[in-house]
Amino acid sequence: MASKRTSRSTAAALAQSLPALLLALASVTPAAAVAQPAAPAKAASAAPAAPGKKADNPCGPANPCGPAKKKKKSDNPCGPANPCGPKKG
Amino acid sequence: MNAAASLPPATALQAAERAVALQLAWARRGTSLTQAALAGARRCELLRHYPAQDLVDAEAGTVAYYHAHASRRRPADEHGHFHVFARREAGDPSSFLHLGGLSLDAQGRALRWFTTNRWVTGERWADAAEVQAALARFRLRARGRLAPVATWLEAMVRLYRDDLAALAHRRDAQLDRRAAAYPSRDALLEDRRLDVVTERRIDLPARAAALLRAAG
Repeated sequence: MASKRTSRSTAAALAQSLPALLLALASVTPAAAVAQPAAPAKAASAAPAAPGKKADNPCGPANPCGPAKKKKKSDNPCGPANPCGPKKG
Repeated sequence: MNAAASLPPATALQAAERAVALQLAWARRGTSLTQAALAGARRCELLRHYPAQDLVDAEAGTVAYYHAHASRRRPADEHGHFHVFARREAGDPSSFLHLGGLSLDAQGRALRWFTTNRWVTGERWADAAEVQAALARFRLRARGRLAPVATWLEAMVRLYRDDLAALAHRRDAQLDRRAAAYPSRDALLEDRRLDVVTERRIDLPARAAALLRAAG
């Protein structure tokens, strides 16, 4: 019973928002066009590699759509890699 | 397609309502999902991830991000696309599988879902049955200004769960059909010409309207 009520209220909300969305989308400012990176391009090669050739670097642009890799933590917590650590000695 | 339980109509309706409401809220503020997906960046640079360290739901083991680049099968009206991943093993960041890519136009309309081969994502390959299982437990929550983007993506994965499972099964069937032309399975999965393996155009307002009609 409660879930039927929820479905009815969900349907009512959707029935209101759907036509409003169609109208609103028409006047949305488009996002900026895609730009080349400022740094030298690291984009994956558009040319197909020979079938069977493994990516050279599975973490880099050779796999253009993989998730981000976490940055490695510094080996030395007192070194310049941690510029905000306390001074030594 | 594997006969897993299909999405209950009430769940689909809720997911559609959530996705539509969020897009309407962005539009009323004069912005769009595409702009929100850029996580505050003024420009969208080729291949850069938005947000830089991805949207990560550590508890659910899910990851997503938005980016843009060329592809042989990129729709002419695509601005960029999300990639959505699920972790396969807790605590192993390199162990993930790709659930699907979701293209957007510059005004935030969802255009298509697509699957890729292994080279594109560098994932540890998972067959469609595993993708389907991960889709069934998918959740993506985030804090801060990207929370609505995560909620929208979660709603879209839920709404199109059955379509995504079907795309993954078609992907596997397509790869099986092509396998004979390659010296090995690895060669097939790493072929850069096969970046997008299967795709399906979508229309969120049309899907939502169909759900409304079905709900009476």
